[in-house]
Amino acid sequence: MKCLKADQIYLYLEGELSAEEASAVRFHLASCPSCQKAVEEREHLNQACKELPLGDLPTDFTPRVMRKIFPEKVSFRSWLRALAGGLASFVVFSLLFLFLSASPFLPFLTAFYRAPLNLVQDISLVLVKIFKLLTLLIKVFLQLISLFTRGFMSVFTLIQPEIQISLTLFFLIFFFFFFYKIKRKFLIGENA
Amino acid sequence: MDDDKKLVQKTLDGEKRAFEMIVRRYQKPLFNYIQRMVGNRELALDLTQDIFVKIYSSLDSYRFQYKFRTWMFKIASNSLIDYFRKKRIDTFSYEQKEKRDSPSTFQIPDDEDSVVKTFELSNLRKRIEQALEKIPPQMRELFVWRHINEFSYKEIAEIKEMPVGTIKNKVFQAKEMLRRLLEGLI
Repeated sequence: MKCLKADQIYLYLEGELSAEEASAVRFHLASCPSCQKAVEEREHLNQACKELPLGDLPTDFTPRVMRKIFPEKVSFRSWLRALAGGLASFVVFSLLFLFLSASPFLPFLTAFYRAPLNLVQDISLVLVKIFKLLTLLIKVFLQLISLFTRGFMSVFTLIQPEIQISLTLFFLIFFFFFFYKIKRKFLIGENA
Repeated sequence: MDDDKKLVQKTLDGEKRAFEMIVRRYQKPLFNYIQRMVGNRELALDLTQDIFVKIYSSLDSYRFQYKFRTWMFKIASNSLIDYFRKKRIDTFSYEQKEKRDSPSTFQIPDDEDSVVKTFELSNLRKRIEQALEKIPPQMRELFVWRHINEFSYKEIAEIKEMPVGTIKNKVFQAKEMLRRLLEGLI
Protein backbone atom coordinates (compact mmCIF):
# COMPACT_ATOMS: atom_id res chain seq x y z
CA MET A 1 0.00 0.00 0.00
CA LYS A 2 1.21 3.49 -0.87
CA CYS A 3 1.69 6.15 1.82
CA LEU A 4 -1.54 7.65 3.15
CA LYS A 5 -3.13 10.87 1.94
CA ALA A 6 -4.50 13.41 4.41
CA ASP A 7 -8.15 12.67 3.56
CA GLN A 8 -7.54 8.92 4.07
CA ILE A 9 -6.08 9.67 7.49
CA TYR A 10 -9.09 11.79 8.49
CA LEU A 11 -11.53 9.13 7.25
CA TYR A 12 -9.58 6.51 9.19
CA LEU A 13 -9.56 8.60 12.38
CA GLU A 14 -13.29 9.32 12.14
CA GLY A 15 -14.10 5.66 11.55
CA GLU A 16 -15.48 6.36 8.10
CA LEU A 17 -13.49 3.69 6.27
CA SER A 18 -14.81 0.19 5.59
CA ALA A 19 -13.41 -2.61 7.77
CA GLU A 20 -11.26 -3.81 4.87
CA GLU A 21 -9.86 -0.33 4.14
CA ALA A 22 -9.21 0.31 7.85
CA SER A 23 -7.25 -2.92 8.27
CA ALA A 24 -5.16 -2.06 5.17
CA VAL A 25 -4.38 1.32 6.73
CA ARG A 26 -3.43 -0.32 10.04
CA PHE A 27 -1.19 -2.79 8.21
CA HIS A 28 0.56 0.07 6.40
CA LEU A 29 0.94 2.13 9.58
CA ALA A 30 2.73 -0.74 11.32
CA SER A 31 5.59 -0.46 8.84
CA CYS A 32 5.63 3.27 7.94
CA PRO A 33 6.95 5.68 10.62
CA SER A 34 6.26 8.83 8.53
CA CYS A 35 2.58 7.88 8.09
CA GLN A 36 2.42 6.99 11.80
CA LYS A 37 3.69 10.49 12.59
CA ALA A 38 1.15 12.04 10.21
CA VAL A 39 -1.71 10.10 11.84
CA GLU A 40 -0.61 11.08 15.37
CA GLU A 41 -0.37 14.69 14.26
CA ARG A 42 -3.90 14.73 12.88
CA GLU A 43 -5.29 12.78 15.82
CA HIS A 44 -3.94 15.47 18.13
CA LEU A 45 -5.48 18.18 15.89
CA ASN A 46 -8.83 16.33 15.85
CA GLN A 47 -8.81 16.10 19.63
CA ALA A 48 -8.17 19.84 19.97
CA CYS A 49 -10.93 20.63 17.46
CA LYS A 50 -13.47 18.62 19.46
CA GLU A 51 -13.54 20.91 22.47
CA LEU A 52 -13.18 24.43 21.15
CA PRO A 53 -14.56 26.94 23.68
CA LEU A 54 -18.08 28.30 23.22
CA GLY A 55 -18.79 32.02 23.63
CA ASP A 56 -21.50 33.04 26.13
CA LEU A 57 -24.42 35.34 25.41
CA PRO A 58 -25.64 38.26 27.55
CA THR A 59 -28.31 37.13 30.02
CA ASP A 60 -30.95 39.42 28.45
CA PHE A 61 -30.36 38.16 24.92
CA THR A 62 -33.58 36.11 24.60
CA PRO A 63 -35.87 38.95 25.82
CA ARG A 64 -34.07 41.29 23.42
CA VAL A 65 -34.78 38.99 20.48
CA MET A 66 -38.40 38.54 21.57
CA ARG A 67 -38.90 42.31 21.90
CA LYS A 68 -37.50 42.77 18.40
CA ILE A 69 -39.94 40.23 17.00
CA PHE A 70 -42.94 41.24 19.11
CA PRO A 71 -42.53 44.94 19.94
CA GLU A 72 -44.52 45.90 23.03
CA LYS A 73 -47.53 48.08 22.29
CA VAL A 74 -48.18 50.96 24.71
CA SER A 75 -51.88 51.11 25.61
CA PHE A 76 -53.94 54.33 25.55
CA ARG A 77 -54.39 54.06 29.31
CA SER A 78 -50.59 54.02 29.79
CA TRP A 79 -50.26 57.14 27.63
CA LEU A 80 -52.91 58.89 29.73
CA ARG A 81 -51.18 57.81 32.93
CA ALA A 82 -47.84 59.18 31.69
CA LEU A 83 -49.48 62.46 30.67
CA ALA A 84 -51.17 62.84 34.06
CA GLY A 85 -47.89 62.03 35.80
CA GLY A 86 -46.02 64.61 33.75
CA LEU A 87 -48.64 67.28 34.47
CA ALA A 88 -48.69 66.50 38.19
CA SER A 89 -44.90 66.70 38.48
CA PHE A 90 -44.94 70.03 36.58
CA VAL A 91 -47.44 71.47 39.05
CA VAL A 92 -45.50 70.15 42.04
CA PHE A 93 -42.18 71.57 40.77
CA SER A 94 -43.77 74.95 39.94
CA LEU A 95 -45.24 75.21 43.42
CA LEU A 96 -41.94 74.16 44.95
CA PHE A 97 -40.10 76.77 42.88
CA LEU A 98 -42.55 79.50 43.92
CA PHE A 99 -42.29 78.49 47.53
CA LEU A 100 -38.48 78.37 47.56
CA SER A 101 -37.95 81.57 45.54
CA ALA A 102 -40.65 83.38 47.57
CA SER A 103 -42.15 84.83 44.34
CA PRO A 104 -45.73 86.19 44.40
CA PHE A 105 -48.19 83.56 43.29
CA LEU A 106 -50.74 85.70 41.36
CA PRO A 107 -48.43 87.17 38.63
CA PHE A 108 -47.10 83.68 37.98
CA LEU A 109 -50.62 82.30 37.50
CA THR A 110 -51.57 85.21 35.19
CA ALA A 111 -48.47 84.66 33.04
CA PHE A 112 -49.17 80.92 32.92
CA TYR A 113 -52.80 81.63 31.88
CA ARG A 114 -51.82 84.20 29.22
CA ALA A 115 -49.06 82.15 27.54
CA PRO A 116 -51.37 79.93 25.40
CA LEU A 117 -53.53 82.95 24.45
CA ASN A 118 -50.45 84.83 23.25
CA LEU A 119 -49.40 81.83 21.22
CA VAL A 120 -52.81 81.60 19.49
CA GLN A 121 -52.73 85.33 18.78
CA ASP A 122 -49.26 85.11 17.16
CA ILE A 123 -50.18 82.11 15.03
CA SER A 124 -53.37 83.85 13.77
CA LEU A 125 -51.34 86.91 12.72
CA VAL A 126 -48.92 84.75 10.73
CA LEU A 127 -51.83 82.91 9.05
CA VAL A 128 -53.49 86.19 7.99
CA LYS A 129 -50.23 87.39 6.44
CA ILE A 130 -49.77 84.12 4.54
CA PHE A 131 -53.37 84.40 3.23
CA LYS A 132 -52.79 87.96 1.98
CA LEU A 133 -49.58 86.94 0.21
CA LEU A 134 -51.29 84.00 -1.49
CA THR A 135 -54.19 86.15 -2.87
CA LEU A 136 -51.65 88.62 -4.26
CA LEU A 137 -49.72 85.81 -5.98
CA ILE A 138 -52.93 84.43 -7.53
CA LYS A 139 -53.87 87.87 -8.89
CA VAL A 140 -50.43 88.28 -10.53
CA PHE A 141 -50.62 84.78 -12.00
CA LEU A 142 -54.11 85.41 -13.50
CA GLN A 143 -52.98 88.68 -15.10
CA LEU A 144 -49.97 86.94 -16.64
CA ILE A 145 -52.21 84.24 -18.13
CA SER A 146 -54.64 86.79 -19.65
CA LEU A 147 -51.70 88.70 -21.18
CA PHE A 148 -50.28 85.47 -22.64
CA THR A 149 -53.63 84.34 -24.16
CA ARG A 150 -54.29 87.79 -25.71
CA GLY A 151 -50.82 87.82 -27.29
CA PHE A 152 -51.20 84.25 -28.50
CA MET A 153 -54.64 84.91 -30.09
CA SER A 154 -53.42 88.01 -31.94
CA VAL A 155 -50.50 85.99 -33.42
CA PHE A 156 -52.75 82.99 -34.14
CA THR A 157 -55.23 85.04 -36.30
CA LEU A 158 -52.37 86.00 -38.64
CA ILE A 159 -51.67 82.31 -39.53
CA GLN A 160 -53.47 80.33 -42.27
CA PRO A 161 -56.33 77.98 -41.05
CA GLU A 162 -54.48 74.72 -42.19
CA ILE A 163 -51.42 75.72 -40.17
CA GLN A 164 -53.70 76.70 -37.25
CA ILE A 165 -55.21 73.17 -37.20
CA SER A 166 -51.82 71.40 -37.42
CA LEU A 167 -50.37 73.67 -34.70
CA THR A 168 -53.35 72.95 -32.42
CA LEU A 169 -52.93 69.20 -32.99
CA PHE A 170 -49.20 69.42 -32.31
CA PHE A 171 -49.76 71.23 -29.00
CA LEU A 172 -52.50 68.81 -27.97
CA ILE A 173 -50.19 65.81 -28.58
CA PHE A 174 -47.30 67.59 -26.83
CA PHE A 175 -49.38 68.32 -23.73
CA PHE A 176 -50.76 64.78 -23.65
CA PHE A 177 -47.24 63.24 -23.56
CA PHE A 178 -46.00 65.90 -21.17
CA PHE A 179 -48.67 65.09 -18.58
CA TYR A 180 -48.37 61.33 -19.20
CA LYS A 181 -44.64 61.49 -18.43
CA ILE A 182 -45.21 63.55 -15.30
CA LYS A 183 -47.81 61.04 -14.12
CA ARG A 184 -45.35 58.17 -14.71
CA LYS A 185 -42.66 59.98 -12.74
CA PHE A 186 -44.94 60.32 -9.77
CA LEU A 187 -45.97 56.70 -9.94
CA ILE A 188 -42.46 55.21 -10.03
CA GLY A 189 -42.00 52.87 -7.09
CA GLU A 190 -45.71 52.25 -6.70
CA ASN A 191 -47.68 50.75 -9.56
CA ALA A 192 -45.87 52.08 -12.62
CA MET B 1 -43.01 14.93 15.00
CA ASP B 2 -39.83 15.89 16.89
CA ASP B 3 -39.63 18.51 19.61
CA ASP B 4 -38.47 21.33 17.30
CA LYS B 5 -41.28 20.72 14.86
CA LYS B 6 -43.85 20.79 17.67
CA LEU B 7 -42.49 24.16 18.76
CA VAL B 8 -42.65 25.44 15.17
CA GLN B 9 -46.27 24.27 14.88
CA LYS B 10 -47.17 25.99 18.16
CA THR B 11 -45.47 29.20 16.99
CA LEU B 12 -47.45 29.06 13.76
CA ASP B 13 -50.59 28.64 15.87
CA GLY B 14 -49.74 31.92 17.59
CA GLU B 15 -47.91 30.81 20.75
CA LYS B 16 -45.14 33.35 21.34
CA ARG B 17 -43.73 31.25 24.16
CA ALA B 18 -42.97 28.40 21.74
CA PHE B 19 -40.75 30.63 19.63
CA GLU B 20 -39.04 31.88 22.76
CA MET B 21 -38.12 28.26 23.51
CA ILE B 22 -36.69 27.89 20.00
CA VAL B 23 -34.60 31.04 20.57
CA ARG B 24 -33.35 29.76 23.94
CA ARG B 25 -32.46 26.39 22.41
CA TYR B 26 -30.54 27.70 19.40
CA GLN B 27 -29.19 31.10 20.39
CA LYS B 28 -25.86 29.76 21.62
CA PRO B 29 -25.00 27.50 18.65
CA LEU B 30 -26.15 30.16 16.19
CA PHE B 31 -24.22 32.92 17.95
CA ASN B 32 -21.05 30.81 18.13
CA TYR B 33 -21.29 30.05 14.43
CA ILE B 34 -21.83 33.70 13.51
CA GLN B 35 -19.13 34.99 15.85
CA ARG B 36 -16.57 32.65 14.26
CA MET B 37 -17.66 33.84 10.84
CA VAL B 38 -17.55 37.59 11.46
CA GLY B 39 -14.90 37.68 14.18
CA ASN B 40 -16.62 40.40 16.24
CA ARG B 41 -18.78 39.78 19.31
CA GLU B 42 -21.04 42.84 19.10
CA LEU B 43 -21.64 42.43 15.38
CA ALA B 44 -22.32 38.72 15.92
CA LEU B 45 -24.94 39.58 18.58
CA ASP B 46 -26.71 41.98 16.21
CA LEU B 47 -26.60 39.52 13.33
CA THR B 48 -27.88 36.67 15.51
CA GLN B 49 -30.86 38.82 16.53
CA ASP B 50 -31.58 39.75 12.91
CA ILE B 51 -31.36 36.12 11.85
CA PHE B 52 -33.89 35.08 14.51
CA VAL B 53 -36.23 37.78 13.20
CA LYS B 54 -35.73 36.42 9.69
CA ILE B 55 -36.34 32.86 10.89
CA TYR B 56 -39.57 33.93 12.58
CA SER B 57 -40.82 35.78 9.51
CA SER B 58 -39.95 32.82 7.25
CA LEU B 59 -41.58 30.15 9.43
CA ASP B 60 -44.52 29.98 6.99
CA SER B 61 -42.19 28.66 4.31
CA TYR B 62 -40.72 25.90 6.53
CA ARG B 63 -41.55 22.42 5.22
CA PHE B 64 -42.00 19.88 7.99
CA GLN B 65 -40.27 17.05 6.10
CA TYR B 66 -36.92 18.83 6.65
CA LYS B 67 -34.95 18.99 9.88
CA PHE B 68 -35.65 22.35 11.55
CA ARG B 69 -32.03 22.82 12.70
CA THR B 70 -30.64 22.47 9.16
CA TRP B 71 -33.35 24.78 7.74
CA MET B 72 -32.48 27.38 10.38
CA PHE B 73 -28.75 27.24 9.67
CA LYS B 74 -29.43 27.48 5.95
CA ILE B 75 -31.20 30.80 6.59
CA ALA B 76 -28.28 31.91 8.78
CA SER B 77 -25.75 30.93 6.12
CA ASN B 78 -27.64 32.80 3.39
CA SER B 79 -27.94 35.86 5.62
CA LEU B 80 -24.18 35.81 6.19
CA ILE B 81 -23.53 35.53 2.45
CA ASP B 82 -25.75 38.62 1.97
CA TYR B 83 -23.86 40.40 4.75
CA PHE B 84 -20.45 39.56 3.24
CA ARG B 85 -21.67 40.67 -0.19
CA LYS B 86 -22.86 44.01 1.19
CA LYS B 87 -19.51 44.50 2.90
CA ARG B 88 -17.79 43.30 -0.28
CA ILE B 89 -15.88 40.63 1.58
CA ASP B 90 -14.50 37.86 -0.61
CA THR B 91 -16.86 34.89 -0.49
CA PHE B 92 -15.55 32.88 -3.43
CA SER B 93 -17.22 29.62 -4.25
CA TYR B 94 -15.88 26.19 -3.38
CA GLU B 95 -15.19 25.52 -7.06
CA GLN B 96 -12.91 28.55 -7.32
CA LYS B 97 -11.16 27.54 -4.13
CA GLU B 98 -10.51 24.08 -5.49
CA LYS B 99 -8.76 25.56 -8.50
CA ARG B 100 -6.54 27.63 -6.24
CA ASP B 101 -5.62 24.64 -4.06
CA SER B 102 -3.81 22.14 -6.16
CA PRO B 103 -4.77 18.49 -5.44
CA SER B 104 -1.18 17.81 -4.40
CA THR B 105 -1.69 19.79 -1.20
CA PHE B 106 -3.72 16.89 0.12
CA GLN B 107 -0.74 14.59 -0.28
CA ILE B 108 1.41 14.35 2.84
CA PRO B 109 5.03 15.32 2.15
CA ASP B 110 7.74 12.86 3.26
CA ASP B 111 9.47 15.46 5.44
CA GLU B 112 6.27 16.76 7.10
CA ASP B 113 7.04 18.62 10.32
CA SER B 114 5.24 17.56 13.47
CA VAL B 115 3.83 21.00 14.18
CA VAL B 116 0.57 20.31 15.95
CA LYS B 117 2.03 17.81 18.43
CA THR B 118 4.42 20.43 19.78
CA PHE B 119 1.46 22.25 21.39
CA GLU B 120 -0.42 21.31 24.55
CA LEU B 121 -4.15 20.84 23.87
CA SER B 122 -5.29 24.09 25.52
CA ASN B 123 -2.59 26.08 23.79
CA LEU B 124 -3.40 24.38 20.50
CA ARG B 125 -7.08 25.35 20.85
CA LYS B 126 -6.17 29.02 21.24
CA ARG B 127 -3.97 28.81 18.17
CA ILE B 128 -6.69 27.06 16.18
CA GLU B 129 -9.03 29.99 17.00
CA GLN B 130 -6.42 32.42 15.67
CA ALA B 131 -5.76 30.37 12.55
CA LEU B 132 -9.49 29.91 11.95
CA GLU B 133 -9.86 33.63 11.26
CA LYS B 134 -7.40 33.29 8.41
CA ILE B 135 -9.08 30.55 6.41
CA PRO B 136 -11.63 31.50 3.72
CA PRO B 137 -15.20 32.01 5.05
CA GLN B 138 -16.69 29.12 3.08
CA MET B 139 -14.14 26.65 4.48
CA ARG B 140 -14.42 28.17 7.97
CA GLU B 141 -18.19 27.75 7.87
CA LEU B 142 -17.93 24.01 7.26
CA PHE B 143 -15.28 23.61 9.96
CA VAL B 144 -17.42 25.52 12.50
CA TRP B 145 -20.52 23.47 11.72
CA ARG B 146 -18.59 20.23 12.10
CA HIS B 147 -16.50 21.01 15.19
CA ILE B 148 -18.30 23.78 17.07
CA ASN B 149 -21.93 23.08 16.22
CA GLU B 150 -21.19 19.35 16.04
CA PHE B 151 -23.27 18.73 12.94
CA SER B 152 -23.01 15.40 11.16
CA TYR B 153 -21.63 15.44 7.62
CA LYS B 154 -25.12 14.54 6.42
CA GLU B 155 -26.63 17.60 8.11
CA ILE B 156 -23.97 19.88 6.60
CA ALA B 157 -24.61 18.31 3.20
CA GLU B 158 -28.33 19.08 3.61
CA ILE B 159 -27.66 22.71 4.50
CA LYS B 160 -25.25 23.23 1.63
CA GLU B 161 -27.16 20.99 -0.79
CA MET B 162 -23.98 19.13 -1.71
CA PRO B 163 -22.99 15.44 -1.68
CA VAL B 164 -21.78 14.12 1.69
CA GLY B 165 -18.45 13.06 0.16
CA THR B 166 -17.77 16.57 -1.09
CA ILE B 167 -18.53 18.01 2.33
CA LYS B 168 -16.18 15.56 4.05
CA ASN B 169 -13.46 16.45 1.61
CA LYS B 170 -13.97 20.18 2.25
CA VAL B 171 -13.86 19.76 6.02
CA PHE B 172 -10.61 17.77 5.73
CA GLN B 173 -9.23 20.48 3.44
CA ALA B 174 -10.14 23.11 6.03
CA LYS B 175 -8.31 21.11 8.70
CA GLU B 176 -5.24 20.75 6.53
CA MET B 177 -5.37 24.48 5.85
CA LEU B 178 -5.51 25.10 9.61
CA ARG B 179 -2.60 22.72 10.17
CA ARG B 180 -0.49 24.59 7.65
CA LEU B 181 -1.43 27.92 9.22
CA LEU B 182 -0.39 26.59 12.65
CA GLU B 183 3.11 26.06 11.25
CA GLY B 184 3.27 29.80 10.71
CA LEU B 185 2.12 30.52 14.27
CA ILE B 186 5.12 28.87 15.96
